[in-house]
Amino acid sequence: MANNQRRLRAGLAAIVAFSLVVCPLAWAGGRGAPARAAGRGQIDFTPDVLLLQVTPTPAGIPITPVVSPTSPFPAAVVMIGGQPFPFCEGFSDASGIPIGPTETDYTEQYGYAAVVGQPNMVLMWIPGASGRLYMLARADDPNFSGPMGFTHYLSALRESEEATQDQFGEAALPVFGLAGIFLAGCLESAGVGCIVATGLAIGGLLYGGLSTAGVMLTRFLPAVMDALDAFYFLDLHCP
Amino acid sequence: MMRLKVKVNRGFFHILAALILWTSIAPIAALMSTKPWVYGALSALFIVTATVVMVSRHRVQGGRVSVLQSSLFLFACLTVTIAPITALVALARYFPIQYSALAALYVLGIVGLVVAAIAHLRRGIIEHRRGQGARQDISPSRSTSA
Repeated sequence: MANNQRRLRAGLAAIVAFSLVVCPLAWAGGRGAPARAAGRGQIDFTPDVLLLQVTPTPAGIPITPVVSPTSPFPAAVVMIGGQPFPFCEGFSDASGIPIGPTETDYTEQYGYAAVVGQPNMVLMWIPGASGRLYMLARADDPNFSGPMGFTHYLSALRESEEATQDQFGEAALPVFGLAGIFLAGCLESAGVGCIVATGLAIGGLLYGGLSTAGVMLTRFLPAVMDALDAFYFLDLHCP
Repeated sequence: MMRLKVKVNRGFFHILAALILWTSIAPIAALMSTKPWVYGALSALFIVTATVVMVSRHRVQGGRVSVLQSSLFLFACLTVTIAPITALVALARYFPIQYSALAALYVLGIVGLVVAAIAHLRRGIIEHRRGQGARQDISPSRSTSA
């Protein structure tokens, strides 16, 4: 019995050993073998493609050299009243520049004016970190007078300021209500009519305050940003 | 508590008159800048008349006021500060310091007058309670003596 088992184990071991040797050989001699054998030889491959006909590149259209529009001012510095001022560059002291009628917002912190004695030239200003920031520009520059120019955004700023003032001015009505409550002697009584009147005044004042704050944040603040952007855009994109 | 009426001196009414005048300055100024000046002038006249009448009515002595009504009145005055506070917080960096200073002065004026009025009202409430406490002290002694 033990001999039989030993024989079986020996036979099994022989089969395993045989398969370990034979199986890799059988795999190596299978499909991959002819290809590897062919790879060692010379390949002669002629592509079955028609010859391409190369057409000559047409000659380029002659382009005349681009000339930027001529500036009415000879250089980036303008002499006004014997003093040099940078053109299309921000500066802080414009005291020597004679200006005509001004166009400003309500606060007069944003605005522009024609420069006296300099045709087609304007002086623009915005509030800077330390006082006003000025810039000289061409009046016909699209970034100044165009549909997306400084003048357009200045008008929008003025309109938003008017809207803010209008909204805040409407808060005067509830203040009249308060004065009326004061005058009618409502402070001395705690009657329903007086409480309702005071509640209405509070409602009106709350509405006025919140709507004014809303106009400031949604119309006035963006208009200020646009005016500032238009000024700095002109500074960067001056012809 | 809210139905309570307390005695205040004439200073309380003077403070409220000043509060009405001070509060109305900014809205009337805004009204005058956007609407015809007649509206602003009439508004100013109405406000000034109301305050003068109120001050003359309490020129010599104070009176009793409702705590609820007075509190509502003071709260109403405080709501006027919403817009200038928004301007101070959101727009101060885009405008010169003078505008921010004016807005801050306006807000501080309202807050200061409201605080002064609250102090008067509080004094009235304390005196009222003290008076109530004194009456309660008196009434048991009466019942025992009876």
